[in-house]
Amino acid sequence: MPALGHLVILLCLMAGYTLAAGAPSTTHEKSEPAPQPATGRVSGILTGANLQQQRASGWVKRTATRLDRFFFNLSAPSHARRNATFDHFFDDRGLDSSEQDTVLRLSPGITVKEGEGTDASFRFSLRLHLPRFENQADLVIANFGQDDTVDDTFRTGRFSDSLLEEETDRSISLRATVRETRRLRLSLSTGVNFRPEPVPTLAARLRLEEREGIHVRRLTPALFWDQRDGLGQNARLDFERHPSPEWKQRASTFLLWSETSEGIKASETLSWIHAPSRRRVQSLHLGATGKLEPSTIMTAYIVRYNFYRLIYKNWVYLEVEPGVQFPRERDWETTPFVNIQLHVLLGAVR
Amino acid sequence: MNAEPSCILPSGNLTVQANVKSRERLRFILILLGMFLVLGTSCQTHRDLELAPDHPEVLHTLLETSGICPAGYDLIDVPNLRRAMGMKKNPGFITNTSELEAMSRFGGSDPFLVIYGTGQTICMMVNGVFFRDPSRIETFLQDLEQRRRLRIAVYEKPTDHGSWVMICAISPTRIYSEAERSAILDGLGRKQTNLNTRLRFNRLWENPP
Repeated sequence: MPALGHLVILLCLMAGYTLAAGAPSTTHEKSEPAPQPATGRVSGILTGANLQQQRASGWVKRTATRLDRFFFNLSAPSHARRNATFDHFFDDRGLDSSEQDTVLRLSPGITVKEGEGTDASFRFSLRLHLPRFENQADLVIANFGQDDTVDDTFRTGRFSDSLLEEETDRSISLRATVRETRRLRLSLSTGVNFRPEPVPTLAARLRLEEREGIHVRRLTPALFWDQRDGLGQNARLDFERHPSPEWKQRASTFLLWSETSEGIKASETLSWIHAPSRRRVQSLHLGATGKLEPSTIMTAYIVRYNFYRLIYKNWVYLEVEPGVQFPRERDWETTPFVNIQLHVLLGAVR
Repeated sequence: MNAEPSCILPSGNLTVQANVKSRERLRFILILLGMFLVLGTSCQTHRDLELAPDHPEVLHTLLETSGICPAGYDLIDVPNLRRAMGMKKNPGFITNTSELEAMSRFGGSDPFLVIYGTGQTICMMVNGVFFRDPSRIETFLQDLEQRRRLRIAVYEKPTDHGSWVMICAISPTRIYSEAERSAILDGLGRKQTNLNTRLRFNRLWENPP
């Protein structure tokens, strides 16, 4: 990334820190007041930014509505197609007015890691919700391959629980939920990853969940095919304990095999998660990654603390993640890192 | 099973048996055809019943007696919109199945649309929906009120068999001149008086969020 890009990201992050420093500490969502706006010039800048965010959000929502209608009209018979002029005046009253869930997430970030220096990144992901398809289809456009087995709320910027996440130039996929009940969810996705050449992908994912009191067992197997890397499968097994609404403890086992994975890769993560509200989450993760086949080899141990909180209105979040890695490739040497990301949300932000 | 006894019967009996068999087959085919015909016809009839308005006189009444058309506007024909909504003419009943389905979820039926404007520019539309059960109107109105983007005025007209809800909508993005505003207000006022309708809410001039 050019130096100017690094500078812009750094400035964004500094602005984020400034805002975070001014924000009051919070405990509960209901009692959580919105961060107070700064005064004077900063206030003017923030007001302008807020206005721009509202405009951009309106554009994102309108675009999502147009695309939803376009895809619906492609598949609907002529006597059932929606008309843009009629919907402009009256709306499509067959859709719930609160069904618009499209969100564009812009995430500039920076990672400092010993031995590797500073690495700036810019991630974006646009999840276009298509409510006309029975609320079961999303069009996802992103510049990284996102693995759905990772819980979105606790996804980290750079060091996710998944071994599958990887940077791509762009990724476009259509995800559809085929069947969903309280215990089961079957979803299919099809799309194209640009690396930079277009690579078609297909995936089928099943989620089975059992709840007994405060305990949750969840198995998420997935089968995927990638034109370049071939067939593969992964499975994630979670054991969760919810001692209180704010606390969650989780043990996750993740296994991956693909035609290019050179055996079976595995990771085990123990997590303690404190989420007093959707707007403030902190978590501690202890993890180990390795290979099970052809022979069992540990490749790294990781300890990381993740802090994710709202810092402005309802659309700017800050994520800070310091941690330590002990990778085999560095002879188990202590390798500290810190990952900082700003998340700007546009669209149907709640 | 049937072939075995026929072998020992005289040839005359064989012919009779063959005729009986072919008659049975024919009867079976006719019954099948009849069933398909009934099914097909019932589907067609059902669809026609759904789409045919129960209150065709309402459009005539609305146009003749309400005097709703704002000064400077006319009934205009926008073929794309008319065809898409399944209307034979303007004003007309909507037969677009997506819209019919949307209205039936709220308990509404017989939706109609009247398009007013100048040239090919649509300036105002009136959408009427009939509710056999007036108690279901409130849910529909609540849904309309939540759609803050829309610039609409909603009227209710009770009848002997139910209630009509009439939604007068202007474009949420177009800027209306003062003259247009007062003409629209006058038109709506005339409609309210002539048709004896009750205004439920008016958000015509609110700025959309």
